[in-house]
Amino acid sequence: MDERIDLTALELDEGRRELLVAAIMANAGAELDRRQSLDVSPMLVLSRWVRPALAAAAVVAVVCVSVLAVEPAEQQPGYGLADELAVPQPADAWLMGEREPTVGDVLVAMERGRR
Amino acid sequence: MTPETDARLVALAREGERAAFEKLVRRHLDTAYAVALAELADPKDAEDAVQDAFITALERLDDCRDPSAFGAWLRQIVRNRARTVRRREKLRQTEQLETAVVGASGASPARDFERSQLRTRLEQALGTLTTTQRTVVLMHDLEGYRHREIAAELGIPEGTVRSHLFFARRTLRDRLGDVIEEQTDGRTD
Repeated sequence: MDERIDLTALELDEGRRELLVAAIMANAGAELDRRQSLDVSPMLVLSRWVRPALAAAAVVAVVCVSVLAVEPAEQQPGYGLADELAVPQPADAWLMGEREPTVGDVLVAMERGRR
Repeated sequence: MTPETDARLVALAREGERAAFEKLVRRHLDTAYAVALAELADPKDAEDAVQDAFITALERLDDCRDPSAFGAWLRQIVRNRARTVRRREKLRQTEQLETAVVGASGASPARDFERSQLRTRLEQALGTLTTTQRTVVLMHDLEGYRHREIAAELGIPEGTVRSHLFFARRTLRDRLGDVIEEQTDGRTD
């Protein structure tokens, strides 16, 4: 036989119970916030940006392809490597021919450059 | 709908989910309070200890190796916290818990007064028990724990629990006379 003693008068009444819960939750706020911020890992941040980044890249690609398709690059006649590198014209021939310029070549090229 | 398990709530609280932690608080508050009251024999100190213990538990939630046994783990923190409170000088900050809300149970003033008187006498009587006797009688008669559960939690033999319960009840009856209402409900464990 179990002769329990009624100790329910010792229980927290509803008002004190709610106050205690409120006090605990108020004090727990900072730690809960800290835990929430820890939850945001770098990989998670990156993964959140994958889709927008891919979408932006796709838009840029579409625009570029459209522009290139409509306006093909204009090439000037005689436009060569020397023009691209901003070196005297004869240097183009030396580079393409894979030969070293002679002193004469250099003097001629300099003379043309002055003109 | 089945209630969420402690393990699930602990997992969510670890991620900082407020609602999950509040559910844990509400689920374990009464037992935590009973444990603290057993250690301190003072309701206000017990409330402080419970409050501190829940915050400590939240801060150390990652140390809870078995989240399904969160209750037992929490009660150990409550016990340790209560012992610290008991040791230190009582620099109480009564704060808002001391205010007029006390006793606002929704019952009539006469009933509140009666309950308050009974509560005071019970607290005084409990104060004459040893800490272990208080723990055993509160866990068993107030929170409904079984002998073997209390034995496991306190790390003492089941027979010792029964002995503590017997002497605790006898002391309370001697102190309180016919004030306490005995319940002979035939429950055994």
